[in-house]
Amino acid sequence: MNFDLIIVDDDAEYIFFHKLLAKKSGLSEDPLTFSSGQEVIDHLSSIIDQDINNTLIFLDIYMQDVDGWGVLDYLESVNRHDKIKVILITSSVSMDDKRKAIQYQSVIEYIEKPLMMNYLINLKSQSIF
Amino acid sequence: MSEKNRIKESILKHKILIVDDQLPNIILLENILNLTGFNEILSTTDSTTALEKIETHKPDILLLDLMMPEVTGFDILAELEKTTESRDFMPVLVLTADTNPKSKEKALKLGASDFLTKPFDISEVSLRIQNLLTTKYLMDQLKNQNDHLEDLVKIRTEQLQTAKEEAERNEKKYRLLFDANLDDINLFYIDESGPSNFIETNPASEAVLGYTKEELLKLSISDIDTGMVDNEYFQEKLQKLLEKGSLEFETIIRKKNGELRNMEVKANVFELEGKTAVLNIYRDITDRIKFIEAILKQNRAFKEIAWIQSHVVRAPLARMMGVIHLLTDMDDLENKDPELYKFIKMILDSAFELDQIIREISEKTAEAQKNQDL
Repeated sequence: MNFDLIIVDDDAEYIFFHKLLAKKSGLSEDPLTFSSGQEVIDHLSSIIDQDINNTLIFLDIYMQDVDGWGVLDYLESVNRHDKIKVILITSSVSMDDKRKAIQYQSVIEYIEKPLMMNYLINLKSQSIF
Repeated sequence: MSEKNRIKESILKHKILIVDDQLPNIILLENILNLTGFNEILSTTDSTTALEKIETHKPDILLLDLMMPEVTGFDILAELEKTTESRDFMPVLVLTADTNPKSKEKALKLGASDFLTKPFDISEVSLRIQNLLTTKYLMDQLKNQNDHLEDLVKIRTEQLQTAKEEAERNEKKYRLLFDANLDDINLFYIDESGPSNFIETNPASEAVLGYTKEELLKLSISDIDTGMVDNEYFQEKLQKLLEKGSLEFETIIRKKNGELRNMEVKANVFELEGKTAVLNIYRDITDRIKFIEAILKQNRAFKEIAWIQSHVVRAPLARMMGVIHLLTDMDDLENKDPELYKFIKMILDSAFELDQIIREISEKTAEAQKNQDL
């Protein structure tokens, strides 16, 4: 695939699960993983000034300290929506959260857990970037 | 036509009765009277029938000779004197040849209005009669007016009585509204310097404020409304009240026993006996406020539950569902081990069912919380 995959979730088991799905579906061989919003922000800010690859982020919303909203706010400020896109993958089923998520330019999808294999397979055939 | 002429015209129509035992006297008098313009003249020489004729004929004036046989002029005067109250005023002009002052005195005492001495002076007769009739005319007018006034007074008195009864009925109604009301209703005067003591309260004031009416008449809202410690509070409320005529607000009052209660206040301003007065209604809403606070607390709890439902509980469930689903996809399990596949499907379906339930609970909580957003 023509993009890097980053998986952000504070639950280690979800990281394991999503990593497995990504590999099995063929979406990404070796995704980067982070367990907090702060970690992924730190990572991104370290590479943002360079010529970065297309990046897709599977982002969980509810995490300790800096949560998904915090990461999205950061991405808004960075404003590289051509290069960095986000799919929110959350256990929340609240309509309010969904509505809030759509407002962010970087968000291309909002998925309620569990992530399914079929979805990732379909995603492969779409041109995200 | 002048008043004088009108009166003269009127009296010429008056009825005259002449009683004299001497026919020539009667004829003479009748002639004089006709010349003056009087036409309604009745006369008799028989003094015994005089009283009867007065009764039936009801003359406006009586010309009465004194010296008559059998029944004299004095006798007739004495009789008339007895019934004078029950009759309209009838002047009696006494005719006499007797110049003795004693006779004149006696006649006047017996009720004669005037007298003429024989021989008659023609103009004197005419003038005296006219004067007496004018007097009678005026007396009659006066009596009519008095009767009329009496009638008016009677009607007015009846009207006042009806109005009084209606006022009493209304007072009973309004007093009932006032006394039976469960809210404390009170009245006091007001000006820029502040409120006066209460001038009226209803029985509910004892239940609501703890004070009896006697006690309240010595107090004002300054002693009851805890907001009154701040002078701006009073000025601000007064200004709004005068602007709009009425005001609703909430405050905390101190009851007689020191207990603080939340009150809903409704105030109306109006004029009473030339002064500005306020009708004040206190409704105890302390319990209502407690309920509201309990609901708000419950609301916050709902919010927390909705949060927990929608996220915390779902996380492990979604994990389960994801992994189980992966299992079913694996290595053509459906064909290799249909029974195992079946079991795994059952677990997966149960997990989905559970997920559905959690979503419903989450939705309901969110809805309930929205409806109660106060």
